[in-house]
Amino acid sequence: MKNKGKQVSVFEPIAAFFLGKDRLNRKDAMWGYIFSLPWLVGFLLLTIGPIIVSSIMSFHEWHGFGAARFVGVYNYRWIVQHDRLFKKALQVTSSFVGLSVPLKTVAAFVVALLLSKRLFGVTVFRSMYYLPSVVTGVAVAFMWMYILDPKGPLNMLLQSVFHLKQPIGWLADPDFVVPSFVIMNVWQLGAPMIILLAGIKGIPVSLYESALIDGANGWQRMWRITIPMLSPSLFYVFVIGIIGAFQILTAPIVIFGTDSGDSGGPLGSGLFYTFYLYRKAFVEGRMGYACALAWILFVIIASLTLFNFFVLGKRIYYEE
Amino acid sequence: MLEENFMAMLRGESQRWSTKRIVKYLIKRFFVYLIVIGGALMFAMPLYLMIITSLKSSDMLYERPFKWIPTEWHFENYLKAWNAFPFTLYLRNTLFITITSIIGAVISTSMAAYAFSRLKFPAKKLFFVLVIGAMLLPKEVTFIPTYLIWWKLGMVNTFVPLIAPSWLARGLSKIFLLRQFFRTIPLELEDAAKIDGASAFKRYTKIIVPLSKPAIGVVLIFEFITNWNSFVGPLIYLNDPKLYTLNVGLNMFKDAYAEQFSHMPNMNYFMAIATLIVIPILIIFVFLQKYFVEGIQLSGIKR
Repeated sequence: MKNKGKQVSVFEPIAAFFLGKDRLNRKDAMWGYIFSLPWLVGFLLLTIGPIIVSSIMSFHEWHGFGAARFVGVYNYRWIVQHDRLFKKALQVTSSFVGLSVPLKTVAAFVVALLLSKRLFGVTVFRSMYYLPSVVTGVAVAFMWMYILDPKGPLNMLLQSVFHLKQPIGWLADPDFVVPSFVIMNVWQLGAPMIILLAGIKGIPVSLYESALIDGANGWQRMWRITIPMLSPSLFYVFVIGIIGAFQILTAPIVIFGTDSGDSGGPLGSGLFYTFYLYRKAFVEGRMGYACALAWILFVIIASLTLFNFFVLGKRIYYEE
Repeated sequence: MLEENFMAMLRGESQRWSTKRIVKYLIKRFFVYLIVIGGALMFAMPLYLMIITSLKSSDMLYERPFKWIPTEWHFENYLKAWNAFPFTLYLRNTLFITITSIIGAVISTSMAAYAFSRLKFPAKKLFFVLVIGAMLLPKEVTFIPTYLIWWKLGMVNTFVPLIAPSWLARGLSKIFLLRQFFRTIPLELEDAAKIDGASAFKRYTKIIVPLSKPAIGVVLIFEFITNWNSFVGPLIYLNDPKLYTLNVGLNMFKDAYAEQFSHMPNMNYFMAIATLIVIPILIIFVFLQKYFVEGIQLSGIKR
C-alpha cells in the first residue's frame, strides 16, 4: 500500500542489506562505505592478510627463497621442546616485564600524585617528567649506551657517592642487562603519568572533604579514596604497560646489534622475545619458524590480558 | 583542597588555626617541592648529558672527574659528524616519509572516524568492532607476514611499505581519538546542512573538519613523532643505503665507527647526530605540549 504506484526494484533486498532500510539515508550510507574504504583496504591488506599468511607460514619451513615446505606442527614442537634460546628469551622478557611494569606503574602513580598538588610551576615539572616519553628510538638508545658505559657518567657518579670498588657493567654485565632496560623503560613514564593525573583530577573533591571531617589522615585518604577511585586508570595503565613491555625491540637492536653471534647481548641476557623473533626472521631468514614464535607470543600476551581482565578486573571499583 | 584550608587558616577563618599546623604544612610543602624538583632534574638529566656529550672532544668523554659542564665547547662536532655520513640525504628521505605519512594519516583516519561516528550504515558496528579488535592484536603477529606481502608485491626497498599504512588508516588509536572528538560536535549543525541538501562528503569537509582542528592537530603531531622516531620499519624495508632514514643512518654510522661495544671514543659524534634527531621533537613538544596531554587524555592510548 505504501509503495503503490512505485516500482520496487529487484535490487531492493540487496540495497536494504547493505545500505539499510531507510531510503532517505541511503546516500549517507553509501558515503559511509566510501569513507571506510581506506581503512577497509588497510584492514584486509595489513591485518587480515598477514594473519592468514602468518598462520599458514607457521606450519611451513621457509627461508625466504625457493618453495616453502609443509612441516605441520614441527615448528611449534621444536620451539617448546628443544629451543634453548626460546626459553632464554622467555626468561629475559618475563623478568623485564615483571620488574618494569609494576615499577613504572608505581612511579607514574607517585609522580602523578605529586603533580596533582597545586605547585608553583607545575606545568614545567609536568613537561620535564613527560619529555623522555617523546624522544624514543635510536637516539635514546645511544644516550643510554653512553650513560650506562662501565666508564660512563652513571658509574662515575655511583663510584664517587657509594665508593664502589668495581664499576657496574650495566649493559655489558649479564646480571645487569635487564635492570638497565628497566631503568630505560621506567624513565619513559610520561603517558601513564598523564592518564593517572587525569584520573586523580577527576576524583570529586567532596570525597576528600567528608573524609577530612571524619578525621581521616593523609595515609587513609590515599588508601581509602585515591587508590580505589583511581583503580580503573591504574588497571588500564598496568594492562597496557604489560602489552607494551613484551614488545620492546628498538633498544635491543640498537644496543646489541643484529650479528653479535648466536645470542643477544652478553650471554644472551638481552635476548628479548621480539628481538629473538626479529633475528630469526630477518637475520637467519627462517620466516616460518619466526611466525610460529609470533603466535606463541600472541597467546602469551592474550592470556595474560584475559587473566588481568577476569582476575584483577573484578577487584576494580567502577563508579556508577 | 588542603591549600584552601591553609589559606583559610591564614585568613583566620578556620577554627583549627595554629602555628604548629602552619609549620607542619610548610615543612610538608618543602619536601614535596624537594622531591618534585629532584625527580624532574633526574628525568631531564639523560637528555642534558646527551647534549653536553655532543659538545665534548673525544678525550673528554670518559675523563675523571666527570665534567657536568664542558670546559670547552666543540660545536664543530656537529659539522664533522653530519659530513662523515650522507646525513643530508637521510634527512631528505625521513622528511619525505614523514610528510607524506602525515598527509595520508590525517585524511584516512579522519575519513574513517567520520564514517564511524556520524554516518549510519549497516556494516558500521561490525567495522568498528574490527577496529578495536585490530588494536588489541600485537603488531609482532603481523610484522613478518606484512613484510612478506610487501615483498611479494615488489615493494621492498621503496618507501611504499612505510607510507601506505598511514594512507590506509593504520593509526587505529588515531581513528579512535578523532571519533571521540567528532562525537562532541552537535548533530544539529550537520542536520541543518543535510536539509539544505549537502552530501556527507560536503558536511565532512565544510563542517566536521574545520571544527576539529585541535583533534586533527593531535593526530598530526603524533603521526610526526611516530614517523620521525620510526626505526624497525625502515630498517627492515630499506636495504639500499640511498634510502636510509636518519635513525637507520645513525645506527649504521655507529656500526661503522664504533670500535667496541663499550667505551666508544666517537660517542660525541654519535651524540651530535642523536641531538639533531631529537631537537625537532623537543621544539614541537615545547610549543605544542598542550596537544600531547589532550591527545593522551582523549584517546587514553599511547602513540
